[in-house]
Amino acid sequence: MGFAKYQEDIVSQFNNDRNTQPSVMPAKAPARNVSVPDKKKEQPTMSRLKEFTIQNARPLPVILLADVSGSMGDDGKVQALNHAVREMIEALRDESDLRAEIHVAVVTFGGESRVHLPLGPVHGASWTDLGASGNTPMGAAFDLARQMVEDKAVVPGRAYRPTIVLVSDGQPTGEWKQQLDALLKSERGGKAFRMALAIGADADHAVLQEFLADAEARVYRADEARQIRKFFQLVTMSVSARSRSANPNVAAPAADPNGGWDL
Amino acid sequence: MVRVVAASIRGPAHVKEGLPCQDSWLAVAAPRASLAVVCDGMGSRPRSRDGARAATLAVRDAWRLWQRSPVGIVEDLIRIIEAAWRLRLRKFAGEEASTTCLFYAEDGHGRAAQAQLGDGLIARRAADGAVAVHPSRSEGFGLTHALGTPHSLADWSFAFVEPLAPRERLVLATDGVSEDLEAGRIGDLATWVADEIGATQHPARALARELRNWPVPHHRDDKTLLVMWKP
Repeated sequence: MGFAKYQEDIVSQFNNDRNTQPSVMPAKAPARNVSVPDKKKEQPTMSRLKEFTIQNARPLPVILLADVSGSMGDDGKVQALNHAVREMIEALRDESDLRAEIHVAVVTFGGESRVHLPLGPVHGASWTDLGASGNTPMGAAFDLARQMVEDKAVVPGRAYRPTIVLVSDGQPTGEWKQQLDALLKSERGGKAFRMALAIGADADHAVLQEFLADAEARVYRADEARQIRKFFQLVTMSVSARSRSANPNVAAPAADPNGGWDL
Repeated sequence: MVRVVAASIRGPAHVKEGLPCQDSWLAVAAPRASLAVVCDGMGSRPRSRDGARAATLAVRDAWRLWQRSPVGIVEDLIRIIEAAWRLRLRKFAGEEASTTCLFYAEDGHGRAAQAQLGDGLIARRAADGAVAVHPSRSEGFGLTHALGTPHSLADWSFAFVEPLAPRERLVLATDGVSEDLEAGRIGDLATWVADEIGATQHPARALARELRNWPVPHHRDDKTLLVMWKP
């Protein structure tokens, strides 16, 4: 065989798997091919890895697009939404043993679309209740979500796949399809996990299904205010499961709260 | 002759689950040409550890053949790697053993190639301190191409490059390391590993110890870091 003719020496290969010892040069590898320091140091080096590494955990963004149009003021829906989001933030804040640092943002659309809670670590998130007024400019909310996800200063390249949650009780006013397409076709926005909740009978399920862009994905439905809370419990469990999993970029199964529910 | 310091360690997630490290690396320091490879087996696949190991050996197989021609192109090298990897897997299906693959290969004829399929980092620090990062085709959010997943030659990021110059440092890392690195400090990291870790009595052990004490909160991934340099 010709391999013997190769003037090469394997410095090392693989790793030592379960062995706590690292790879070392195999005995058959002659020292002539690997420089040996003239002066060997017996003392361990001073660790400097902190100087070269980012000192924050990898973020896992959760972006809520919340309908706060006038109709959300009926039947205690916006109060239920406030309660549910506050509860979600507190639950995510209390999570431990996470692989990721959960970041939360809330974009509202009611009369106008705006960032109610900028994207940041959930442990520093301070919640103020939402009011309900105006029409339903959902398209503008899609634009804000896309800008947020695409901005690498806001969602860095090392972040895990975001979850975007859309909650609405009505039909969007004004243009929305173009903005939704832009979100779904954007390089990073299109890769986000998406969840949707339709509140009440007037919610536009077709728009929410289009937002999910997955025929098998389910638009959850809440006919009563208390079911909004259950939906956010599901969101919380989904995000928590993902942040604990071996790979938070992969959807993790989350059990239905309270043994299953049918919104 | 180049020098190499490299180590792979299990991340806390695999330690907790009692699973082996699914990263792998290989380096060859030969008089005329050198090779450095790191591979990161995809954790969700049952044979990813075997896939990563097979990939390092496949790159070496292909490189040995590729060296024979002074005019071989990088595409040829990659095509041989793809085939050699499937053969190295023997009876296992590629999709069960998916792995990223990053390498630097000198051909012994004054040429060198760098190539990357999937996440991770290839970077070089020149003697004057300038750092060049090999462009990645990573899709972000962990959606990565890999051997064993659907991909084409176009999904590899590859190029002919100058062979390592004296005092130049090459860094190869899997994403467990690269995702947590400050972009502006990659050159300093390479210098530290070469000058300080490389000067210890047991450089690989020292580097592995550093990787096990990775200072980023909540880190879980396996980690592989390889630094090659020409003194």
